[in-house]
Amino acid sequence: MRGRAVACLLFAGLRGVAAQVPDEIRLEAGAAEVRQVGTRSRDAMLLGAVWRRSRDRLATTASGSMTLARDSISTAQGLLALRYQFQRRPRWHLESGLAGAMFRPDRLAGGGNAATFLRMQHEYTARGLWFGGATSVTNRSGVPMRSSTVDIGGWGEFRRTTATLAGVWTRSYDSDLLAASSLRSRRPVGIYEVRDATLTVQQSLAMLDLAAIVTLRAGEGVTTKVNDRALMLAGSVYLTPVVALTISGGRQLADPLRSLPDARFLSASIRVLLLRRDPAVRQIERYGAIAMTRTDPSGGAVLTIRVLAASNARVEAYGSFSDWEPVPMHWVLDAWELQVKVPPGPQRVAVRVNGSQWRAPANLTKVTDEFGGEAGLVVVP
Amino acid sequence: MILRRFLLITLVPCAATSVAQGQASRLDAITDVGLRRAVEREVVSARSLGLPVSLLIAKANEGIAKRATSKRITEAVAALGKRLEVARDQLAPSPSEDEISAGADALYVGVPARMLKKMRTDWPDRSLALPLGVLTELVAKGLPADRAARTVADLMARGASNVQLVALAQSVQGDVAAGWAPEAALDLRARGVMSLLPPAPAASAFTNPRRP
Repeated sequence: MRGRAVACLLFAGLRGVAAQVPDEIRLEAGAAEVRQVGTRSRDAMLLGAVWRRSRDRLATTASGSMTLARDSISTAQGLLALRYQFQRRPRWHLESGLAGAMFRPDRLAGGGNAATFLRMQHEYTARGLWFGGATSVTNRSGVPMRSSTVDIGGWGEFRRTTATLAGVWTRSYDSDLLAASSLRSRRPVGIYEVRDATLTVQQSLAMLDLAAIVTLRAGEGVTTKVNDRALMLAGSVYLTPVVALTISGGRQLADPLRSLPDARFLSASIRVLLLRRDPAVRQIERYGAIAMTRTDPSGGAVLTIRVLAASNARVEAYGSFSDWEPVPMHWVLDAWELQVKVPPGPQRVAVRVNGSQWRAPANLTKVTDEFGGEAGLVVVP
Repeated sequence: MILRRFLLITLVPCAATSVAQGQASRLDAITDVGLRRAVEREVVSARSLGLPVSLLIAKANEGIAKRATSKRITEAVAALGKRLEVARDQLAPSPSEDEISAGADALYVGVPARMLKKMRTDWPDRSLALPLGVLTELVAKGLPADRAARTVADLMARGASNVQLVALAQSVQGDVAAGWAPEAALDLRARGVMSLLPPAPAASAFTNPRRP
């Protein structure tokens, strides 16, 4: 009953977000070969869709996916996630969401799974930390089994490489999954625990994205201590700016939270970006602003800063021109703008939206200062 | 005569007091007493050395605006004071405040002090504030300081204007953003500017620079 209520809530949420104007819609379709522990390989078809929307301090992501096999391991999953940025503490984000799944795994009875998570994240320039937890209920043949996790981790961007390290502690009553996975135990069993350390490394090249995920697991089943490890690899080649071919493979350890069994897989899929806002606009949004100078006949130049942000946002600029006092920008036609007269010589400029982190305008040379901030350098002739 | 002497005695200290009061009022805006005293110490020290103290106060304000800790602000102000001193010495004999400021910026991004001295030796009469700014921008983009300084010096020797130097830096920035390697972008853009300039005189370029 509780699972149905969560499924209804998730469905209503997904319908709600579908009525909003999105920033991005992505579809994915492909084929996979999946082999669960102790079974033969099976072919499966993959279908997925992702919807994203970002407004001011709230970002919403909704996704759905289906794995279809002829005889087994068919699942349908949905996710609705929200990410909220605090106005007074802009480096902190609250992430929360609901996930639901219906499945018919091979060695287990069919059923459903509903999960919810809550996470606090702290971002600082190109690094971040998070901590949070999640809980889920898996129902197979009318028997609800609870699982819960606590996770903590950090990430950092180093040029084009992103590394993420996460630690996850899981407690679960899902003994069916335990029996069907590499956690080797005898039924009937009670609660069991697993501890995972996961390192994800992602590398973005011009037309190629690569990712490697390594998981080390230690856990106690009811009768057996388990030490295990798994590696997943993925690569995406952009055939055009909106079409990418993704190949991934490896081993996925049993996931009690989502009730996913231990499996080895190899998949190939085509991802199509159906909708995305103009790349140049997105670049401006990502980096905050652009800045231009125009020579002033009376000497020096006029520095014009433009920021693309929501019309109800609070947009400010500061720099050496204002003695680092934040100056409010003005809404002009379709963007935030500030024009200031600056003397000849080097000037440093930065902008921020809604009190968030100061950013260098995209088209200027970025320099870091002694205080850990960044600004754009412009030399006025 | 007595009146002129009286006016000199009265007005000169008034003007100095007015400037000092302006700077003092900005210092007073620093509410952290410990930080204000530390900055005041640096300002007094810099003033005794003849350095532009407004830059130190601006740096302290920058740190406050960026919510840096008092310790970090004090260290940043002290480090800037040292850079200003080095820049002034390297750009001697009579650098302008803008030149000292630009020199300190250049030192911050990693331009060696000897390059400032060489530029002053090569261009004793030309204001180096803007060329140093362009050099700073190029080095901040990731270009080796030697390579960037040579290109700027070559262009100045060929008579490149300040506007052309700035345009070079902006073009390189655009190319780097488009995925070019910084050095390749600098080579290409420097050749483009060179093609617009008259040939370099055999030996006089560095010895007879013209003020723009």
